[in-house]
Amino acid sequence: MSLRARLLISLLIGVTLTLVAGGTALYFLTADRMSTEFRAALATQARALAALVVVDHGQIELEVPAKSGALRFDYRIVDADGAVVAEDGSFQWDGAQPPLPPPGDFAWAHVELPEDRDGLAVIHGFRPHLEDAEAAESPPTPTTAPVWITLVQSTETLDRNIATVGSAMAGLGLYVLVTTMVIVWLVVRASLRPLDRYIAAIEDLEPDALELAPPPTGTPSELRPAYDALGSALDRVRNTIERERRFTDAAAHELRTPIAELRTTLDVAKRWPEGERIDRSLARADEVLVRMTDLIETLLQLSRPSSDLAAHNADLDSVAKIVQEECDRASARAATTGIMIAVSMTNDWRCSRYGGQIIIRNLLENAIDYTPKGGRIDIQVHGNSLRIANGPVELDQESISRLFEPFWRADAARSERNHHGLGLAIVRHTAAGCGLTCRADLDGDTLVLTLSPADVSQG
Amino acid sequence: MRILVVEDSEVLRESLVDGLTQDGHVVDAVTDGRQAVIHARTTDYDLIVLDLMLPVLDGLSALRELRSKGGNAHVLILSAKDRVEQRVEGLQAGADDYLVKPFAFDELLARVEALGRRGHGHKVSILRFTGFDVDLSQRRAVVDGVTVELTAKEFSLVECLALDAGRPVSRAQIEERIYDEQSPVWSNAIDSLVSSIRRKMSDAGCTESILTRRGVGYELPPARGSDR
Repeated sequence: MSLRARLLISLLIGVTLTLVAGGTALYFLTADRMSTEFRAALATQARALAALVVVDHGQIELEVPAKSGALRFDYRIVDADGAVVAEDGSFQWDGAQPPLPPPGDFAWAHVELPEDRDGLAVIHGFRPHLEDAEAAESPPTPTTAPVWITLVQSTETLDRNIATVGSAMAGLGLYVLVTTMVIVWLVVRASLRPLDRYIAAIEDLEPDALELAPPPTGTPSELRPAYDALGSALDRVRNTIERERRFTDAAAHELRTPIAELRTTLDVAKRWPEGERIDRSLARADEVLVRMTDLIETLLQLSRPSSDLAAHNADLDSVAKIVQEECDRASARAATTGIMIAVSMTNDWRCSRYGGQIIIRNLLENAIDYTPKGGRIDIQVHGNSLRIANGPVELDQESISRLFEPFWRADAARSERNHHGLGLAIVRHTAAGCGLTCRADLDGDTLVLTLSPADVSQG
Repeated sequence: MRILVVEDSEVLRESLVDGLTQDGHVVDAVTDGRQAVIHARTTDYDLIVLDLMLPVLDGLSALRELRSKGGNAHVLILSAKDRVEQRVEGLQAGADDYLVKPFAFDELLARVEALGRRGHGHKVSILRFTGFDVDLSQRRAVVDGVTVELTAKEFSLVECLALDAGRPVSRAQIEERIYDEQSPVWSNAIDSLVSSIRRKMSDAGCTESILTRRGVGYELPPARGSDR
């Protein structure tokens, strides 16, 4: 369900519930008030009628002639014996007759009037006064015998008025509901318009230009963090794409030279296909293919996520042992250029055997390649680190900071050592996958590469 | 043509030297920019085929140094750098042509030949002389539509004279252009080559080809059909 629909429905339910609850409460309060006023009016009329009842020579009389037109309601006056003293109109109790209230009190009951009309009856108990003449002879005192007057009035008008109020309130509620719906819809639409613009901005993003336009004027503050977060994410994506593009560009560039070698060798052989040249060309092509294969294997190694190496991390081995194995392996090559490899081991530590071999082999090969003839490579395994130092090297601090970049070489020429500038990039890549870290420093003109567990170096 | 190949990749360098030599050029080769500058200052090369990513002194620096010291050999850059700004930079540094690796060897030969012609003011590859034609791109001499069977060295000599037709070329100049640094040159090698060429041309029906300028060297009469 869309956010717009969800907001709309939620707001509508809220408004409807408020209207229903409020309207119902208001309706009942109004109806109750109207009923109370109706009863108050009827009670007042009962009192007024009671005032017209007198005792004349022991006879209870109503001083207003019946059917005079002055009274607009039905009534019945009964004495303490239950005898009807005066009466006008006819009505029937809706159910049993209610008990007579004590003098001064009122009792209420619903009655049925002729023509199926509903009515309300009030029964008022009181003690009538003596007639004026008798009162003149003695102070007017209420008679001791109580009299009850029952006054009945149709509730038709009251019911109609209450129904009218109910209808009016229902109509008003419906009107408010519809108006609210329209207003809410407009408000929700206007409120979500910045979100629509935000979505449109994302949809308009071109893969070649992942630039998010700044938020337009009037963008609500709640949406600005979303713009910022997306902009930041796009920056990271752009940087990653740019890094990958540079890597691909450098890899393609690196492949151009062996391809050129291969193509030129074959072109020349095809143009002048003589026996010796064919043999020589094939040998050259073979040599180039071996180098290309190595390069492609290296590129594949770099393209694999570091996390893939984690699968080998359970197979731990002694760093000293791996160093010794790799030194034995590299010693022949080092000897050809008179390079001495000196190893000192004080404390051993353990790392992934698979990753350790790749890292140490590349570090050693790099050291051999960049150590002058007759030079020396010092390897130290102690504490939680492995230190490989070789020199003299012609490197400055800027070169040191770029040493682990793929395809970076201090000497821009490929030289004949078949270096592609990937050895130390593989070291860093592999170290990251094995929970290790590799740092490069210059100690005078000696290059020092230090391998240690990542948590140790961070600490 | 006398060509200097400057390339640090051994395989590519050897293939270039082999192919260009087979095409009849005289080729020397060095592996870095410093050696290239030294060679170019001591030898009169028609063309230098120059890589850019070189050890010791990179190709662009070598080219700038060469031009700053008055070196006027044609320079053809052979590089894996293919971006427009890199090619522009190479040409602005003084290169005459730029070829991106990998390349077709035939294209390289065509460009080498075009640069050779341009160096001597010719716009077409077939130079027409009285009685014979010299096809620089096919590297052959033709008499009445028939190709004269010349050796690579003989054709190099014809080409050397044809490019400078109308002007005498000394024996020393010819030697420098058609023999590389490693080749032993006998004192009468040029004269022997000229005699051999004259004989073959005569056999093909062209009796007047290379003229002798006593005390100076040899000369071909001015071309009649070239756009020189």
